[in-house]
This record gives sequence, C-alpha cells and structure tokens, in this order.
Amino acid sequence: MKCLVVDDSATMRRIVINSLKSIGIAETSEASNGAEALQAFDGTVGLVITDWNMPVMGGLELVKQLRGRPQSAATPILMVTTRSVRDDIVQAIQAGISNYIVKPFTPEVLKEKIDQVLAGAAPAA
Amino acid sequence: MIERARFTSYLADLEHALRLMQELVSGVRTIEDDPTRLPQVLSVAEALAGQQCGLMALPDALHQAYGAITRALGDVRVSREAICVHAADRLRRTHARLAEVTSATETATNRLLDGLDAALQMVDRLDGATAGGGEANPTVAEVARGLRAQLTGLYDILQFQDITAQQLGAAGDLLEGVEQRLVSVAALLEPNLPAGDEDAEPPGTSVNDGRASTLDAAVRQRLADSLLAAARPAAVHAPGP
Repeated sequence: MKCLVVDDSATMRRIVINSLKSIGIAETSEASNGAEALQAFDGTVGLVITDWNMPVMGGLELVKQLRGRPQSAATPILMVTTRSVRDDIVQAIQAGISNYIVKPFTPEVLKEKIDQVLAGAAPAA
Repeated sequence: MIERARFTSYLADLEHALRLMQELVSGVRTIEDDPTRLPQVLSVAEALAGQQCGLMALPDALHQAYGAITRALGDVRVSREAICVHAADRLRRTHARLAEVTSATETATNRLLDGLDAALQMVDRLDGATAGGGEANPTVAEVARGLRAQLTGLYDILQFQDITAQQLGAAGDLLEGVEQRLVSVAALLEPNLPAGDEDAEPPGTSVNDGRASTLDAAVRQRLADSLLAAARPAAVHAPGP
C-alpha cells in the first residue's frame, strides 16, 4: 500500500516516512502542501498522512477536497499536526479525517492509528 | 504655549475690525453723495482705530504659535525616528534572527537525519551480514535490533525541529505584525514615509502554530482520541450524504 505524506517541512516528511518504514510501509510519495497532494493523489494511494498548517493549501482544505472527490472519498486520511485544541480537532473530524495524531508522536502511536483506520477505514464524521 | 482663549479673543477682534472696515468703506463711498454722513463715517474710523489695540498683539502671538508648532513638529520627528530606528528596526532584526535560528536548526536536523539514515543502513548491513553468514549470530542480531530501535527513537526526537520552527515562526509573525503597525504609526507622523509593507500577510493567514508544543503530547492525543471516539458512533447512525 502506498502512503502519501503531506507536510511543508521536509524534516517532518523524512521523519514520518522513516516511521512508516519502521512499521512496514515502505512505499511512499510526498507533497509539501495540499495543492501538490491533490496532484500527487492517484489510484495507487491507499493512505494519506497530512499536516494541518501548510502554505498554499492547508491540511484541512485538503481533507475537504479529497472527501469531495469520488476516487478519494473513502481513502483513509490521518491528520498529523501540532494543533490540539478541542475546536481544531472537532473541525478536522467534521472535515472527514479518519484519525488524528498529535505531534510529537511515536512510531507506536502512528502504527496504532494506521491499524485503526485500515481496519475500519470510514471517516470519523 | 499660547492659550486658546487669547486666540479666540484675537479672532473676535479681527472679525469686529473687518466689519468696521466694511462699514467705513461703504461710508466713504456715500460721502460724495451725502456729505452730512461725514461725522458718522469719522466715528466708524475712530472705532476702527481703537479696535487695533488687540490686533497689534496678533503678529507676536502668531510668532509664538509658529515657534510652538515648530517645536512640536521637532518632537514628532524625534518620536518617528525613535519608532523607526529603536522599535521597528530592532523588531525587524529580531525577526530575521529568529528566521536564522529556524533555518540553522532545520539544516542541523537534516544533517542529523542524514547521519541516522547512514547509521540505519550500517545496521541493516550488519544484520544482513549476520544472517548471510550461515549460522546466525543471535547476539549481533540482538544488538542490531536494539541499535535500530535507538536510532529510530532519535528520528522521532527530531520532531522538535518542526515544532520549535512553528513556535519561532509564530513569534516572528507576531513581531512582523507589530513592526507593520509601528511603521504605520510612524507614517502618520511623517506622511512621506511608506505606510508599511503592502505585501505583508494579513493577520490570521500564518501557517505557523503559535500553540505548538513538545510537551504533554500524550494528554493532547487522549483528547483527540476521545473526540474521535465520540464522533464515530454518530457517523455510523447518521444518514448517508
């Protein structure tokens, strides 16, 4: 399964991709904002991991756009972000995320959330 | 400082004098046709002459006012320079330093990641060599596994760079906002100055999370988990789109 990793920080993309490798997901592609991610998304992507705060198009808008397209409406989307106040989380759930990870995270948390979304990939809201 | 009351009085005197002057001019025009009006015109002229006592002080008062205005403008110029040089410029420099720190930590973090990548590859080779050498050496394999776990853990620690970059970025955005406001204030004091950076991002458009934190991630994760758990049953029972 290919995972699309979306983050404007190259450092964070490397860290997420390394964490994915450590839990057995070796096939990845990258995008540095939501607009790039929409272009990079194709039929081979089985999971999207996105940051929230990004230039050009942020993660929240990306989630809304992906949910609005038939080819990505059911794709599991993990939001990985520093934003962790209640209103932000609720907003992300309403936009259609499948799960939410607060930075800084551990590979164990990443694995747990990925397992959860792949087991029952329906969006939370 | 010249009192406002004195100026008001001078203005009243001036207005009265102008009225008398108009009356005098009209009177002089009528004398030719009606010489009997001469005494009346002379009385207006006398009244006008008497009126001058207040007006005589007006040039001096205006001179004082000019001096006061010049001093005030000087003070304003000093204030503008103080804002531009001592406040806005310092904020700009501080902002630039924050950006420099962020860039330096990003470069350093990427070098560390390069080092970790190389170290992980070496561990992989060590593991491969052990496995390919016929009988596997359990001690080496165990060491390699432990080393890989340690290195992966270091990878995760480097998330601090993204978080602190957002904190510094948010602080920089704040400084930039304050700097723009100070430049706008300075521009009010000196209309020839530009009113600030028109290309600057409006407030609220920053991509930096000022509340980003390296602390209490587990507590914040539990909040996210509980909100997601609360949202899921509702989704199950909710009618489809």
